[in-house]
Amino acid sequence: MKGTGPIPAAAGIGLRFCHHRAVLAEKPAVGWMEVHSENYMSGGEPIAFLQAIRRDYPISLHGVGLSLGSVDGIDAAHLDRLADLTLRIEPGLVSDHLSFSVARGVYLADLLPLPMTEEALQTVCRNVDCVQDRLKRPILVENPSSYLRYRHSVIPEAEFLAAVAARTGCGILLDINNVYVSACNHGWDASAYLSAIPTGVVGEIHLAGHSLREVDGRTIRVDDHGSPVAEAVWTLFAEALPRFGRLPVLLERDNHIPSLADLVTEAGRAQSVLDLNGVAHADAA
Amino acid sequence: MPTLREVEHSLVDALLRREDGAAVSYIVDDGIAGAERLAIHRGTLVGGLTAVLNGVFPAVERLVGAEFFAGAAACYIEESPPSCAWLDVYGDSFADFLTRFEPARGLAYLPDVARVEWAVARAANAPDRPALSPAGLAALSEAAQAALVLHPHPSWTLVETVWPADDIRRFVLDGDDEALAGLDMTPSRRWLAVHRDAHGTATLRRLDADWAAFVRRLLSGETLGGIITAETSPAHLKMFAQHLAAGCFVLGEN
Repeated sequence: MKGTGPIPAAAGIGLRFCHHRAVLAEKPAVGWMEVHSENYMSGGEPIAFLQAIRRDYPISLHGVGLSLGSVDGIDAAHLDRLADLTLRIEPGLVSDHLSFSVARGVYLADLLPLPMTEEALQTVCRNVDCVQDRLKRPILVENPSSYLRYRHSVIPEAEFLAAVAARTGCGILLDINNVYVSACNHGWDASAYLSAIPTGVVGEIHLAGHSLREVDGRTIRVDDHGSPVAEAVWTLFAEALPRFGRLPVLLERDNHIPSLADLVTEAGRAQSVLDLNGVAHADAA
Repeated sequence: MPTLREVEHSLVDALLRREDGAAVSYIVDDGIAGAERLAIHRGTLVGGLTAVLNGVFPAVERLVGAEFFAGAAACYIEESPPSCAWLDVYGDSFADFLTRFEPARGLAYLPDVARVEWAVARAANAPDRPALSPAGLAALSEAAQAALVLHPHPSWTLVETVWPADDIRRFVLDGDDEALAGLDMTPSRRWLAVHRDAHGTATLRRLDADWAAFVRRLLSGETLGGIITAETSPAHLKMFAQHLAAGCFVLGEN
């Protein structure tokens, strides 16, 4: 294993505070680790741990706070903090979401869906350009889980995401769980969604768990990052790999976080699926 | 067709103020009402920020119970939502909010406990800055020492309380009900210096009125040569040396 550098086309795990000490002590056999950028923007213990861990593992910075869909643009101070963290950690990848979370100067602490319109597309592209110019590197943009659609949306989400990549040069972080959740919630065809994502621009895959809720007598799936990956999502993951090739794959857990050993075991399953189904034509840079 | 700005503003109204009207009118209703769909996001928003506040104010949460705390957090989130996703800085006004929060009016000590907890969180998360060390000070010429203007390390806070909030916090977090019940709750002014030590741990040190006044003077912008003189008392010199050794001072503004 090595520290700073490209993220390998292998299974990685989300690094959370409760595992800092165990990771340093046990050095688990995973290819890389990903952290939430916003959790490491302060001083003190967390960033000290991350700087120690990055000596052994390539690190990806995954944000929830850029608000790439904000019509008011990117918060310059937040972008500066991300740029500082990027300089300190030298991550293999930097990513955030196709969503907005800041409006009227308020951070809404969720990844909120955008209307799929040309106006929103132009806004996202402008914001992605702004981030990439500041960081001097391409970022990955992740497809969201969504629980609502807007009446005036006119562009299918996968096409919207592909257009963002084509216009800005960014890559796509393909969250298989999010594809499945949104497809179930809105009656989309998950396989068709994958087919609409161009090959060659996907730089990373996410796997996570979701929960089911009964609302108005109907079931809605909610991306909660608090349960094991659903079998249907494993199946969709295996279906996606021949199309997109061997890529970095991340197991995300943010709630009900299991022991490091259990997390590594789940990552081992992702590695096995990757080895079985991922053709070696698309290793991530 | 609503503009993107109208959509985004409608979600602020819906999620923070429960004014769903505009947002619902933009949302497809295909078996699940728009208001129910928005409620999922509202739950994530309020639940996530409540967890953040709970992480910063665990003693306050234990003092009032989870349900009361969640109610207070929901009101605070609506009144003072965060402005960015860097949530380590969220909660700075929670103690002041508690002084105005009517259901907590009978718990006069609660805001002071929150002030101490905020200082502890700030100490843990403050930016890393090299502190002025005794060796660093000694390496300066006498004239340079005299011209120094000290500033607090970013992790250092002087908290002024009326209640023994540090003891309340400690006993609550330790689950020591007996010690809590035996506390002298006579109101009086107290000062507490909170700071991150060399091991990254937040440390709390009580100061008496004289020491608190002297520390304030050290950090008032006056030069060190104007504060530390031949007339400075041994007690003040000792306190200055302790704070210096603990890494409480930096040179230049934070």
